[in-house]
Formats: sequence, structure tokens, C-alpha cells
Amino acid sequence: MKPLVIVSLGGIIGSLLRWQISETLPHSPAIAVFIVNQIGVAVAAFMAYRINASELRKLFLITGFAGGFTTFSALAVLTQQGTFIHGAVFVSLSLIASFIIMALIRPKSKR
Amino acid sequence: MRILFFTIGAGIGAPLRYVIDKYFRTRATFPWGILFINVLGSFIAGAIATLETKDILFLGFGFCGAFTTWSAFMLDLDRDRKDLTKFALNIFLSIILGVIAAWAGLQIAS
Repeated sequence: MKPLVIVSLGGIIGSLLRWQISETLPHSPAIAVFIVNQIGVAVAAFMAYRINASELRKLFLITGFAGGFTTFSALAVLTQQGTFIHGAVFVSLSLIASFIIMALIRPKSKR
Repeated sequence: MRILFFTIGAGIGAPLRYVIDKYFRTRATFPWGILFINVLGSFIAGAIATLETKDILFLGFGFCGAFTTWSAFMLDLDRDRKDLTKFALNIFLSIILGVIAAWAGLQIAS
């Protein structure tokens, strides 16, 4: 039961924070989703690769917070709200930026 | 009310993701769980995206946002970066099926 509560709490905090960020960028939902997803990847990668945390702390920050903060559904829906090219560029840039972030945070020993 | 519904949705979505992901992860090395979650969540998000805004809808917005994830998708891709088949299959299936699911959801709603 404890892991579920921990993940739920982390997910709520991450989701509310994502909502706040999207509220500050009401006219650019794609940019808000992009920023949120890249920050979330950085947090998750940092916690997964650089920090020696307990299982529960990782569940809270990686699975709960970063998992709830980042979103795939908003990205998928946003690809339907413009031209095909817009959608393809949005998804490609999101992937490329995340790969760069992961490569930067990944320890040298794991490269 | 919106923030309450949103919080409840997120509070359910995140642990449900954890349970589903864990179930698949003990049975396969390919992240089927996250793929299933992201595709299902994209379908639901598409289905409610264009509905007339009511407070209760925020239950769905909170749920979909917390249920689906970009960070776990990326962590799996990073782990599988040297296994080209898995890596390419995960990107291909996630993006193609996710986009189709969101499209299908939007079609159903309209």
C-alpha cells in the first residue's frame, strides 16, 4: 500500500505543477508541454543515474513526480491540432531534446 | 472544484500507471506497460479534449496527464539505446499508436 500512496502523492504534486506551468503559457500549449517534459526527463534521469536514493524516494520522485509531471497524452493530442508538419516537428524536437538531456546526465561510466 | 477533480484524477492515474507498468515489467523486457498506458491515455485525452468544458472533465485531464508519461518512456529508451530493435520499436509504436489513439479519441468525440 505504501508505494501506491507515495506514487500517488508524487503524481499529484507533479501534475499540479504541470497545470501551473501550462496556465502561465495559455497561448502556447505545445511549448508548455515541451518545457514540462524536458524538465521532467532531466529530473528523472538525474534521480535514476546520479543519486543513491532509497526505493521509496525513487518511487516518489521518478515514478510519481517526474512521471506525473511529464505527459504523453497532451503531446499526442497536440499533434492533432495543427498541420502534419507541425506535429512531426513537435514530436521530433521533443525526442531529440530528451536524448540530449539524457546523454548529458548519464554518467560517463554508462556511456 | 476543478482543482479538486484534477487532483483526484492525478492521484488515481499515477499509481495505476505504477501498477500496470510493474505487472508488465515482471513478464517482459520490452516496456509494454508504458506503451499501453501512453496509448490508452492518449485515446482518453483525445476523447475529452474538445468536449464542452465542465468541472468534472478535470478528473479526466488530471488522470490522463498523470497516467501517461514522457519521462518513463525516455528512461526506457535510454536503457535500450544499444538494442536497436527494442529502441526503434519503442519509439515507432509509442509515437504512431499514441498519435492514432489521440486521433481516434477526437473522432469519437466529434
